[in-house]
Amino acid sequence: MSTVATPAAPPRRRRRSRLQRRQTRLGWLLLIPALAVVGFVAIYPLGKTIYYSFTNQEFLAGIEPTKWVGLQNYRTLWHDSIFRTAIWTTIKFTLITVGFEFVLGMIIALVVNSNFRGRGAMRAVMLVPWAIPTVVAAQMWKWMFDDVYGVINDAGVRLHLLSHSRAWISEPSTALASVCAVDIWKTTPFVALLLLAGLQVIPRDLYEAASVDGASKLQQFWRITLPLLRPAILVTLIFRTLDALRVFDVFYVFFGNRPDTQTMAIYDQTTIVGDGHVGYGGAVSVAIFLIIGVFVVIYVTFMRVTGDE
Amino acid sequence: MSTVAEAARTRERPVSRGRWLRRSPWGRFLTKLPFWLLIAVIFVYALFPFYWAIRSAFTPDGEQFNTPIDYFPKHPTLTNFREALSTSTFQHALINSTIVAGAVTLISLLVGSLAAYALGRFRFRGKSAVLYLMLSMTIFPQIAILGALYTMINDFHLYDKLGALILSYMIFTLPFTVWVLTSFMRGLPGLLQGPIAADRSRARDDRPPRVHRRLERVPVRTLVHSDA
Repeated sequence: MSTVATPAAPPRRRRRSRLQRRQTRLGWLLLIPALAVVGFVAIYPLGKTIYYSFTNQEFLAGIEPTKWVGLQNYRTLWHDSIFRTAIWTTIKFTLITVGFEFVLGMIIALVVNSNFRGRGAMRAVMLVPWAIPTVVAAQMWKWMFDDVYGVINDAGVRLHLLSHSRAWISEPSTALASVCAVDIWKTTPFVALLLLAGLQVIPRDLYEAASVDGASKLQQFWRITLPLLRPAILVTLIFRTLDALRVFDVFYVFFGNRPDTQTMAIYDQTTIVGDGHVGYGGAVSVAIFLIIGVFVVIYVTFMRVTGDE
Repeated sequence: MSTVAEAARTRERPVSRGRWLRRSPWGRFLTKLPFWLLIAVIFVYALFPFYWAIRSAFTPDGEQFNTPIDYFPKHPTLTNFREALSTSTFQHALINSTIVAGAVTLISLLVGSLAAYALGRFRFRGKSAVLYLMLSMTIFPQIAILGALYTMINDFHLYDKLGALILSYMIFTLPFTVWVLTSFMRGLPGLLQGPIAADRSRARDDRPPRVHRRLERVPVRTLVHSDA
């Protein structure tokens, strides 16, 4: 039956496939450099790291011959309380910052999306923290948090918000909060920017129709803005979460590698570069990779579920 | 009928209140006030730390440690700038930043635009796989390859050299470049496939890369500074 129906098809298909084949060949040719670079700086090192994690590789070779140790590193890691603290610090940091950044970013995006005089200037101002490099921002804030000469203590005491000056960074109870403050200040603009982009594609007439029907601003927000913004919100949350989980710079500027406030990334860096335990550090790397992988899987399945609706 | 009248009456009240708020200057001021307050708060929140850095930069060393602290430098000075710019480490860092930023931009543009052209213009098998690979690279935890990268850099005798920085920067600049340029190539108006198209598009290629370069330089600078 199908043979009767398709006598004219073969030549056309062949012509298309010749073009197709040419495109495929040229396409892959153009991709070679990029894939080579990616393979060289990411995939090959990743494989090598995984290999290291099963050995007792040290950076300064010669102290002890490198040999295969199986799951030894992972067994040690399982009982490593410092790493466990690092995981908790990182997760707490992620939840706090992403939560605050999302709420503040949403408020800023809504403000900047509405019509008022000076909107352009406000959009520029909003981006200032984001334009400042993280290390510089962290250094700026560290100075502001200073226990004796810091402006935060001074302003707090003057406005009677604080009874006395505090050592924000060195006190364990406020250390994490102070680092979160820097990240929130620095990254909220990025969140606001992504959400603003999402807000701008929502058609205006939806709001007009809603207000004609007598919906209040709050109802419009819950019934129109939030549902239509969901893709942008998801993308923002994914980006921020994964970024926060691999945080390094703010913590490093604030605390160096103080053990009670290490993140996963700092612990890994200290193990490999500081102590030279490349093998054990490899196991830490793989663990971090898996932890972040878990978050990716959660997000992807969540996206698929909401996408099906 | 009565329900309609009722509805009209209940609707009338808020409307008239709204009218008062809109008409009288006081009313207009009151409705706008929370909004402008919010804007003021955002304004201060975003700019104050930046202001503080500038204040500290213009404050002479001795006054930096005044208590109570000065919110505005009493004797603003340029000595801090003069000192910073004449320090050889800082000059060296600036040169390093420029070299690294330039090299990274050049390489990722060169390599990235080729890939982006293929990804944005052609249809072929495995294309989406490559795109996903690039996307997954942007969420790739760079720390996970630290150990291997560290030994690789050492093996290539790049330790403590700029080449090491350039190499490691490719991990995140290249996927980003490919991703941005791909959507740009896709958006180029009505070109047909083929090598001529590649030539023609290069002329228009100019704008996004330049923006991109600026975006890219900022992080490069910081890292080199913090290293130096």
